[in-house]
Amino acid sequence: MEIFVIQAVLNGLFLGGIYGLLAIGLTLPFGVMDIPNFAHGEFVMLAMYGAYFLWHYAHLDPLLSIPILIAAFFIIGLAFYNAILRRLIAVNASTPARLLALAGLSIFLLNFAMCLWGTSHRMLKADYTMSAIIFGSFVIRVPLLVSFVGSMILTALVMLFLHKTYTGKALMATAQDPEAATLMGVNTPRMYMICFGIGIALAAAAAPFLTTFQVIFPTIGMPLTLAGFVIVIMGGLGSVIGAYIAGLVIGIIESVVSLLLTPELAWVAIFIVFVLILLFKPKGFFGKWIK
Amino acid sequence: MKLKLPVSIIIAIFLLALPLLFKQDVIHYLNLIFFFTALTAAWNIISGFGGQLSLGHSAFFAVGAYTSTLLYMDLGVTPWIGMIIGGLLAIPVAFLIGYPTFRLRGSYFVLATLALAEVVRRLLVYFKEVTRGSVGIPMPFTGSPKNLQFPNESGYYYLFIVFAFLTLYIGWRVRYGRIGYFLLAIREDEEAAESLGVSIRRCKLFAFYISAFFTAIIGTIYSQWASYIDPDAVCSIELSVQIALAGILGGMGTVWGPLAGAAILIVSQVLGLSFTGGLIGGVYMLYGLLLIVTILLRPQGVIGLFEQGIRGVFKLFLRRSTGSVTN
Repeated sequence: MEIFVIQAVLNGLFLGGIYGLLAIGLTLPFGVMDIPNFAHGEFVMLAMYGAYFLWHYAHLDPLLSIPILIAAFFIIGLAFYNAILRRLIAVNASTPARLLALAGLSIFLLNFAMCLWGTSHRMLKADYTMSAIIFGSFVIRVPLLVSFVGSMILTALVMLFLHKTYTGKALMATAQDPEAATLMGVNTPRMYMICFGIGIALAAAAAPFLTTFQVIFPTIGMPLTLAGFVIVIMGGLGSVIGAYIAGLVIGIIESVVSLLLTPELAWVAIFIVFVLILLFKPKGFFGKWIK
Repeated sequence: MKLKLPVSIIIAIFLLALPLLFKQDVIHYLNLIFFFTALTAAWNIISGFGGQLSLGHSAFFAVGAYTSTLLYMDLGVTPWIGMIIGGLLAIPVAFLIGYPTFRLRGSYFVLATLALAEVVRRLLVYFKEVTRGSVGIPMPFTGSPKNLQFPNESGYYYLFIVFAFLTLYIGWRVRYGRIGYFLLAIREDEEAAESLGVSIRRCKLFAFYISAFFTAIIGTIYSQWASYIDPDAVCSIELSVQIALAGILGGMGTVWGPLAGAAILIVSQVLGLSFTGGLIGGVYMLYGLLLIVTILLRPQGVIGLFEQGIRGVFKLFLRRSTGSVTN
């Protein structure tokens, strides 16, 4: 019994890395410019299809498609920012208005994918999809391990970017105080745009990992968005490390409840955790600003 | 928009006579309009007047639909009683997410509503022994008003019109009652309102209870109208989005907005279906675009345009008639 539980914790931990990664992409725009990106999961879904088609037609390993997808989705993110959000930010629209515009985008993208590719499930079969490492009495699935390591590397890169580059520091300054940042010569509208682009790029970065152990279908995005928001609130708005750690925790909860009870109730457990956080720790467990 | 008594009577007679003029399939669309009017008016009480955006109202709809249907099918309780029980059951469900989120600002409430709908749907699928799971519950058709069923669409038309105007009236009462002014004060400035003794959480919870109660009741009516329910049909994100979209299109926090929004929603659905030829997701793509465009171009909704238009027509008419008297 204990072995099964520890196994479930391990699986959840590895899966949680990807949750953390996609939550970082959600927490950055939320923390910096108060944009709850409701279409985040849909961008993950589109990037999953991107990875699938790159593998299907160009025989590209999903791990190799990561840089391509990051670049492509960064540009897509900038385009959507300019098309929809620039205006709302300019008139200082309320958070619900921003959220609704992005919810509209989410519905649009989801059904766009349905129109194009239908509702059938697709499966990407990389060389290592089915392989596993036996470690004592535990089985570690290679795609999950690869995802976990990949998510740690990408999170470290995001942290390096935020703390070591001018753009990263300017981004954090904008999150703390937009007026002061503007006075210090930071081009804040540009920062907003870049921040949204990075968020979408991170959604795209998480997607190829997901494709190695998860089937692809158009409606996969919404649960990911929801889980992402729970993680973001648990970790504290705008906290990168918080998002990553909370991602691991949610991954473990999901995995353990799925094993002990049933996968359908995993969501109920996450919801209960969410309500408890709202009741007792609504600011999350990690600081307010990007750290 | 205040309507004079004679005008109201003419409109009422016109609405009551409509089923006599049209075929059943046209009346079906009118039913859809008034069905969404009722739902959106209920939604508007918390999301419009209360300023708390909900994208999970299908959760309450499902509570109403399942409560009355299960009582009817398993215990033989008439849905007329079942719908009250369903409505009352929706209140603790509303409390569950309202209580923790209403003291917080930001997007917590909307996230909680979305998550709630997802949880309710999964619970309905999970507890198969009670709810029949994703197989759904087909209902025998009796066509007897005793069971909240009618032999044709016209019967439902009168039912929906009563509930559409009932919820609109409740919305009007909320808007221009004590609670409405409290909610308005909270929307304008939470701190100022609270310092004057308005309990933010209690006001919002009260509005949320009313909203959830009526949404559940409409859920009961729907279950008898469709005579089949399953978790995906009554507790879907699509339904929640349609309700919110109609509310936003019409104008959040306006008394007549839900009616205008529901009409636009159904008309665009019909047009969208004919344009896309029934392509999967085609209509919802259109809904997504509509939502984005509305938020970007006219976040206050279209009802203002209607009012201006009607007022303009009245003015024109009045000026002419008074002109003829004075000359």
